[in-house]
Amino acid sequence: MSNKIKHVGNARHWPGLLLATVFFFAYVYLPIVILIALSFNENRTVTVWTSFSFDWYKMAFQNRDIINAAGNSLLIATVASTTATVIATLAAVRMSVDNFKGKTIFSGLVALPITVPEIVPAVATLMFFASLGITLGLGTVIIAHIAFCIPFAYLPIRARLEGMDPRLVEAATDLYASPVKAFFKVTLPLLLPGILSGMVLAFIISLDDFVTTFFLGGAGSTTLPIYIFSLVKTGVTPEVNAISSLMLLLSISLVSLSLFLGRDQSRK
Amino acid sequence: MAGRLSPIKIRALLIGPAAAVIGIFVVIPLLLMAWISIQGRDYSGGVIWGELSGEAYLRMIFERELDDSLSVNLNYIMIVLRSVWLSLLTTVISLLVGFPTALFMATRTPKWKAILVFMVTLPFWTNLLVRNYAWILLLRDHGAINGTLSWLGIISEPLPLLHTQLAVAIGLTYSFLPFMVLPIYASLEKMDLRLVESAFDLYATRFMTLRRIIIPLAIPGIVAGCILVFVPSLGAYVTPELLGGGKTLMIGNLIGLQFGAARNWPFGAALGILLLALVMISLTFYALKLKKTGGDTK
Amino acid sequence: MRNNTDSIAVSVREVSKIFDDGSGAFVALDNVSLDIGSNEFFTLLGPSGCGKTTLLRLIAGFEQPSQGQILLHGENLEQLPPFKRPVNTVFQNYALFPHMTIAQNIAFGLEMLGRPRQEINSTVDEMLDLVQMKSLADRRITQISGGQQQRVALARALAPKPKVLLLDEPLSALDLQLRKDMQIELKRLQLETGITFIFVTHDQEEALTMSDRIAVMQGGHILQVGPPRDIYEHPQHRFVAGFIGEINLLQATAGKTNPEGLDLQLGEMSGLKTEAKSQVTPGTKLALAIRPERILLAGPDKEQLSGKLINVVYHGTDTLYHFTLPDGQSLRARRQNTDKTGPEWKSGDIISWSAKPDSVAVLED
Ligand SMILES: Nc1ncnc2c1ncn2[C@@H]1O[C@H](COP(=O)(O)OP(=O)(O)O)[C@@H](O)[C@H]1O
Ligand SMILES: [Mg+2]
Repeated sequence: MSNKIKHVGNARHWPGLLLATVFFFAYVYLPIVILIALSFNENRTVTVWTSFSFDWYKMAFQNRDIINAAGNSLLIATVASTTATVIATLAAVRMSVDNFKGKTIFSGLVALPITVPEIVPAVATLMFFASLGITLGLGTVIIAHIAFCIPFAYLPIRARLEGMDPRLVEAATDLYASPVKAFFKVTLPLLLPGILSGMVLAFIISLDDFVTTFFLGGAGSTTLPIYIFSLVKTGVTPEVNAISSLMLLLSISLVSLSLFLGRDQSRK
Repeated sequence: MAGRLSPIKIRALLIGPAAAVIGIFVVIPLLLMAWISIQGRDYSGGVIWGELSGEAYLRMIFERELDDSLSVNLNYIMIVLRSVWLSLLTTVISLLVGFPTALFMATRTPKWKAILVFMVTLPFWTNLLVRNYAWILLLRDHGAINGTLSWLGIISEPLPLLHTQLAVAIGLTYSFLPFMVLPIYASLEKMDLRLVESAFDLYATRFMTLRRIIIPLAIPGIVAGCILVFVPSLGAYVTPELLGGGKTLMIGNLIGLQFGAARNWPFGAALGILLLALVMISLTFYALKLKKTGGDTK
Repeated sequence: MRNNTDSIAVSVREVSKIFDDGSGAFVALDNVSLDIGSNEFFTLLGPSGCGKTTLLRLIAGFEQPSQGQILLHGENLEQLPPFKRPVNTVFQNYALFPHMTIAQNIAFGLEMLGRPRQEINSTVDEMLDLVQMKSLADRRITQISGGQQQRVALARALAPKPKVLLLDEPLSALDLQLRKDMQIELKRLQLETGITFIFVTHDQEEALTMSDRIAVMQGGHILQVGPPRDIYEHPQHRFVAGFIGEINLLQATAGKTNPEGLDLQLGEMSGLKTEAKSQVTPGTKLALAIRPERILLAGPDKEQLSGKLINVVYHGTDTLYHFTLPDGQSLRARRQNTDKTGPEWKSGDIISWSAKPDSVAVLED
């Protein structure tokens, strides 16, 4: 009762909000927690907890298919995210100073892969490659991943450029730095954390992708998500819980890394 | 400056690669898809190039009988309607769950705000497939929910949860919830808490303050959040594939089928165009709404 | 005055700057001409938006003039990009490089000029000494206070020993006490280095205390150029008079011109004179400007010039008296509080006053 009276007129305190928020986070995190917990469950029937065990992880690491899929995932994500980041950085840097007719069109274009539901460009690209007689496989997957990784790298870099004080570059040229030197001495170092954080995000997005890889992949391009999907479709085994948990852990560490890299100390 | 490149060359060198990748591997395929959607179907998979045909679009509503006459077939339209319905349901649930959370976050201290934003963002960056798979563990007959309920003695027979529309709605909400919370939070976070205090000062009840001050201020965020949840839900593939059964197909799965077992490219392409059109309509609606509320575009 | 081209550091000749962002042209500078002498502490003073920053940016080379030329020691700067101009800028919010230490910031210009490492190190040390920041050399920019950032920005711009230093409202972000200290510090630095300073401010007091000469700007024009005393004592424009210090603006009619000056008529009231300008036809309407502290208050004895006291405001060091003149114009007078009590004048009293002819300025417009 006294609590209620105390908060009357307090703009920070709204009845029920805390409860709603607790529900929200339970909803978001509980399934993940249960998944991870079950991955350590010794029991094969999966839902009933019997005792703690690393068996499923051991099994996963001894499974050649999983190792191969993990290798493909890392290869695709590494190539796609670095290529996309380089391409996106070049474009973002130029876009921040250039002015031309098709500028808005280009801005819309870059965001296209994340504006439309993934299934559409996935099947469209599938028909494109198939019509050209290109065999689906690692190559086609990587190309498609580069395309959808570009906006994930481009948008944060662009935002960081927008947020950068244009006076800094002017100050550099005022202090006898040519435009090229000013770019390498001032713009790039200030942009680097943004670039790295964009690259890590693109890496995660590529690593986690299912739809595009599913439609554009062929024999030999099975990634972890594809492998997990096929296991889930054919019947759940505890092994899936183990790799799934590992994937979650990897994403969480990478995104933390990205946020850490991208934290902005340069802005006023 | 010595050896200076013309602005056009610099542009081609720097912006060119991005434009080329997106142009060749996204835009051209989409155009090709539009073209294929009005081509004749090759039953062995693929298309008969150059044979113009509206068959793929007809097929959305009609079925061709053996004698070549058309009869109405609502199966596909039902899938489209179900997709829209499930996406709307997802949007509403997300709004109901997301708004209070966003308001709670916006009224915290800066340190807590940062922590909460991180916690909301984090799951978004984890594997969508895995997150949906986790729900199978919860929803299936011997899953965590049914297990708990029967252990408590509330049920004797497991409830059929998995492979239902409810399961799909839960999964979609789960997948896209951060998209609702973050924009609403962003618009509420800018709100000056003194506005709320002055409303209290002017004799507004909490309910009135919510209705007259807070929600109007949050409108740009709410609209953005709804679009950001609705659009990907509409085109969802993974969630209905895992949590829905054969009876809860959505457009995305129907499209996928045309490139697998059904081998009907023109129809798949036409459905893709339909999905794009629905997305465009939603985005246009969003743009109009934004203009009206005077919200800031990103 | 300054005919010798050797002693002119910057010459701005009929420069206009028009911004056109597509939605319409905006004239930021309108046919501005200016000569700034070597070793001068020159101030551009004017309200926000009058074109001060634009003029500095033209001199620095960040913008090109739409018309006219800018010469640096007689050399036309046209086509010379900023990184080739021996001119450095202290930016309004300093624009220090956040990814470098203080010492690295100061060294930047010298490195870009390709100076040998040894020279760079010794100049950086010298600059750190000059702005008294030696102990913080390896700190990051984000770890120092606003006042310290200000000093680093100064040191960074001075390190390459530019011919001209441009300072864009460098003190406006500092609090009052720090600003006062930095005013003295800046003046000292200018004297010590002998570099031409072009200093931008919208603070008239700052301009008066620091400058050798001031140019008062408004709406893209330069209204008046001169030493602080001239600008203060002899404003030629209503705007200059009003912008700098407190002033009475009065309407008067010209009378006879005689050796002591020009007789002036305030309504029916005569007795005010001004130092003779060129011939003025009697009967001409004139706009006068008189500083409140130049009004000499004599007390309630009826002289030629008088006014009805309507309000007295005590200010500590002085007291401000508001009068209404017989012709309805109002007049303010300031009187030093040389003793504890002051005169016992009350509202409604008729007080006589006077002003020396050289305290009465005639405005041109
Ligand atoms: N790049 C620009 N484009 C358009 N207008 C500008 C630009 N830079 C300055 N202006 C305009 O020119 C006027 C003078 O600006 P500025 O020189 O910055 O004034 P000050 O420094 O005296 O406050 C202002 O009205 C400003 O809006
Ligand atoms: Mg300015």
